[in-house]
Amino acid sequence: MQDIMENLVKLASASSLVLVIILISHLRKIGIVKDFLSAASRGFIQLMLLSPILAYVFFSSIWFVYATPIIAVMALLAGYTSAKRAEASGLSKAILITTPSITIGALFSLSALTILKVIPIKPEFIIPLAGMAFGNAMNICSLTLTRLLGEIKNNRDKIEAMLALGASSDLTVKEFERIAAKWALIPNIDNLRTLGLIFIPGTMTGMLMAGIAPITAAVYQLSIFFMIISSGIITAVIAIHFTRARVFTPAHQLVDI
Amino acid sequence: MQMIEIISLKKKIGSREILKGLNLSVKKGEIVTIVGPSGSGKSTLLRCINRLTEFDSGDILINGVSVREYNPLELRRIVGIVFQLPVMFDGSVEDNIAYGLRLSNVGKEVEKEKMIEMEKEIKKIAREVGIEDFLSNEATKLSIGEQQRVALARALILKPKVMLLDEPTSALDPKNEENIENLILKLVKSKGITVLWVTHDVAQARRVGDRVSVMKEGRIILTDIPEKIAWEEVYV
Repeated sequence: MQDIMENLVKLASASSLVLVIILISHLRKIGIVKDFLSAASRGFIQLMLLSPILAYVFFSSIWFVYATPIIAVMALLAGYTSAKRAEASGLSKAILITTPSITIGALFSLSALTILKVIPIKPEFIIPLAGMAFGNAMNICSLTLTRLLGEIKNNRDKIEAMLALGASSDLTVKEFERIAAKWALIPNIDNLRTLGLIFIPGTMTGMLMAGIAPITAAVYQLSIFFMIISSGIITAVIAIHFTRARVFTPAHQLVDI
Repeated sequence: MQMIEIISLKKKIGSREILKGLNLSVKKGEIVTIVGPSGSGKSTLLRCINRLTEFDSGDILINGVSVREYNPLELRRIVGIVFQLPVMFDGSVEDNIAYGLRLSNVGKEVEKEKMIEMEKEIKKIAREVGIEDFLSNEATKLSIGEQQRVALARALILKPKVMLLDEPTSALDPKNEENIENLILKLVKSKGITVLWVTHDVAQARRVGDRVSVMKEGRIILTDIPEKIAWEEVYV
């Protein structure tokens, strides 16, 4: 009980920063107060609900029975969220592309790390890392599809001019697919490049705060980055492949998006 | 011998019927111009012929074979198209002209003799369309008239049997319009290419067409030699 009280006091103290956000947004007329408060409330409720669930699952002997639906929900939510972005860019029924792409990308990298024994098969590792893998794969999927669809729309005349000369649909969008995937992965690659110089990322920070040896924390952090980028590139490639099949007909005709 | 036969062609875009059972035949080596008001379906018709757009019903025969029976990539090499606004690809004029030729060699090592042959063909077509001095220039930096010549060369180098021309001179100034029009006529006649030439310019339709088709609301309402058409009665 004392722990809970202590944590609530810490949360209340940290929330003083909320006032700073509201004050600056109000004074500078940035207009994010409503969005921020809604997001913060959602985040608060979601994490407060998640904490006891995780506490229960972590100490259960049949944790994998609980982990499976948790991971399935992550996959569906990530697919749904990314699909909304892609649909806003003109891709209908995008969930049929985003969900499998993100799921395959995230599960592949997560499985690789467990099979290679980089991370132990324990719920306190698998579930949070699955969250990271799905979350990042979702962002990369959204960025890839938004950019790809934008490039296709902006270069419609060029693509059709190529098709008209007998080029295959694959060839006409190859350049745009490369641009989209690279653009989506660059933020993570830049983060990797500046790792330890500009910022110490979440996992490593958490482990250091928990008293883990810095070298162990660094190894985990790098492994996680490799997981994030590998899941991202797999997701991007699969999403691009499925999208190409949707924006072109089998007769190499560019459909309206 | 009919090179192009269009039979009861229908095409809807959304709920709007663009082509409403259109019929047209074009003989081998003939130039048929299509005139009609904006939105009458002229461009859609051309896009259906080389299958950049799929039609809903009816059929289009090229040299007696339905376009749906051709490999679409092969069809587009036989049926070339030049659009109203030329789109240049990144790279030199030579790269642009060679684009279609090089497609069959993507990812392959090309023999020296074949390379020399291709270079010869590029220079020949560049000379024919009057851009031999610009081959190494960046294509996107050319004037629109020069770009249209590149677009023409890019299509002609594939030795098409049919050329679809979608208002190829309407974005040009009068001097360039006349030059490109004469150039197209000279080249397609000398190569025996069958042409469907869409234009909104009635005078041009009369000038260049062996026959003229008048299109209205998704149908060809009249096709005849220019001399026999009662132009004052044709609304375009």
